Amino acid sequence: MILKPIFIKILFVLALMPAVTSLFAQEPLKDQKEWLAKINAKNEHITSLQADFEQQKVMSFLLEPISSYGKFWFQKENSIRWEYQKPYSYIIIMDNGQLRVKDGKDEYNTDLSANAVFQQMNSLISGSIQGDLLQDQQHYSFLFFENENQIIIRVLPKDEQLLAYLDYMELYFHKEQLHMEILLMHEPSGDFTKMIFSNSILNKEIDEDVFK
Amino acid sequence: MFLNRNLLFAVGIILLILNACSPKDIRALQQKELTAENLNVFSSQIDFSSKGLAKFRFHIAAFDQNLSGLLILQEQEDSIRAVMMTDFGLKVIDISFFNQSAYRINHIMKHIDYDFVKESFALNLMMILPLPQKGNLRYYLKNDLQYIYQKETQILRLYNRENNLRKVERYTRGSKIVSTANYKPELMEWVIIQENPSIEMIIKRLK
Repeated sequence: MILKPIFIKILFVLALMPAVTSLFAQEPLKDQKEWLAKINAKNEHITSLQADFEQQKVMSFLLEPISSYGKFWFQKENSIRWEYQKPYSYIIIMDNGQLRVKDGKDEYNTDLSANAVFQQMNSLISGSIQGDLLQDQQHYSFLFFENENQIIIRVLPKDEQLLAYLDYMELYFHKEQLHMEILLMHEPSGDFTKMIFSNSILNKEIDEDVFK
Repeated sequence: MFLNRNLLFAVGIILLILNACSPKDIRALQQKELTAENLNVFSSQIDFSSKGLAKFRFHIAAFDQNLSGLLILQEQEDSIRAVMMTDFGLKVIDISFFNQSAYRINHIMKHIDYDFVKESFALNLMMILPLPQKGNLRYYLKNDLQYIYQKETQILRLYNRENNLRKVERYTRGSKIVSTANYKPELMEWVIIQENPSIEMIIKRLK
């Protein structure tokens, strides 16, 4: 009688197992060329993107990830705005070779060309959205996987400077809509950052002031 | 008797040397033992009550560069772990502090992996952390508002008001000021300014 609730819990977990494993299961992608062509065809028409995002930072010494939420704007070629809203509000704008951080009343500017890390981050993010990154075989190599709903492309940098702080990235594309849903950045230490995009709006005109 | 006199002489010389290395206005102060109760001033600005974690926004200006992101302090069994990461989540530096003179760098971004950078991060953060004291320390009490203590490798001067740590100054043994940390209670932020090389760190507490 005492065992009954435990037994029910075990049954419940066992019943959920196939669903959970299929959700996270990654298999090598079949028809790589076909999928890549589809993704590239979709991405090359992206001129702007607006989305909500959740950023999860997973670190080995923390029991739980640190999550932040906000809004994201991208305008071709390289204009990006991250507006963090929860739990803390601040804004990061990368535009015209400048990185601006607006934090309450404070505002800091940095020349992206003087900061290799941020410059590369800017290129990686905009290249991921537009798909340019997937065509750059000189600087990256690629591995392709899939799960039930997504195409997963693992991007492995070849550049030693980039490898010093980025082991690899994973881009998750929705199989039907073909836009990027998740951007995962794995550091050499094993820690990683996961950016989850939702409510994406493509190619809608964005006011210039968003990037000021 | 001869031995005792020599011993006294040696102790006197050591005290004189130590005294000569202190900032001038410290020399005149009354030496006093800093009790555990007094050390509470260290912990008053950092609150680990949320799952052993304290979170801050940081901004660093150095060498014409700006870097901002999140600083996480975690209270561990015998240490405090401090991890700074950029706004995009890339880890900048990860340090374990064991006491006021011992720390270990667990990770630092490769392009800033220089000894003086690591030391600057560690010693400047150390100024405001509630760490246990170890080693050869001497303490001074100026008045109810100001505590000063001195250790072997550096001198820290702490200013305490209404039981809150408000200011910390770090000196070299040659009496030269290296860093000043000022707490702004209205903004819940520490501003740490290091001279030569010039580094400014702003650490703002997040609720």
